[in-house]
Amino acid sequence: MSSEPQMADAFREDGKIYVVITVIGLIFLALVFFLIYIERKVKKIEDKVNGL
Amino acid sequence: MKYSYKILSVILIFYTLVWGLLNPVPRLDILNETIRNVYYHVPIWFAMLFMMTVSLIQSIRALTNTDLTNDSKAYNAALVGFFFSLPGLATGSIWAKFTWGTWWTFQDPKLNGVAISILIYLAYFILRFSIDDELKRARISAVYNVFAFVMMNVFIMILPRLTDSLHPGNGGNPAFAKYDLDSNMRMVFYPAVIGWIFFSYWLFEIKNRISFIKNKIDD
Repeated sequence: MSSEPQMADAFREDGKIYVVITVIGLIFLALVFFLIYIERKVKKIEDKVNGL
Repeated sequence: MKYSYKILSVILIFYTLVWGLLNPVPRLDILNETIRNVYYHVPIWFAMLFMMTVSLIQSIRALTNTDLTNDSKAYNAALVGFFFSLPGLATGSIWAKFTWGTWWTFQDPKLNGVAISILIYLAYFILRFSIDDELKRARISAVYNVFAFVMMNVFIMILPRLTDSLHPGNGGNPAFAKYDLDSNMRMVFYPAVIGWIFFSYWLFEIKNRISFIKNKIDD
């Protein structure tokens, strides 16, 4: 007799999975925005250095 | 155009973070929901391999000319690759704990191979720091880097396939052929690989620009 492998079905049905996805997504986007911020800073310094 | 690959990388990774948790996956024993790690753990390693390949190409270019920027790029690529290998190791270790039952096993040649490869690249960094003369450093470290790349491939791509391994695709275990059957997983896995490879290139580019500024200031 084989039993069905256990999956997080209830978690999905509750809709709580969207909470997790939102958190992960926000963290990722925050990191991306920080990276863009750093890149803009680098660009500014680049312009400064090239102007020397 | 300059930003398109960066935008694409963010879109692809964001898509895999969302759809990677929502899409239906094969219902397998032991793996259960952790099969989704394929979307996150594996692409990190692909990005690492990609960066090491970029590093190799830059090192070969550094050997054919006296332009120090190639040497600097080779170092930056190896550094980005190195920083991708650390979360790769950590995520693999966590996954192993809950599926193979242990944080680290010396039975798996891929794990040992990766550990050795990381040490090989650490030696590359140390080698670079130990040579003061710039041209000499470029030449010696480029030669070493070619060896490092070859050794890494022997240790993580060839040897694990020749002996028993717990990793899919090694030691006669099925790999993507098995997942390929599931087109749902393929729809997330491939975008994740592309997304993370582009993302690693983004980091590489920023690191290059910082190196360029540093050189300019030093001159």
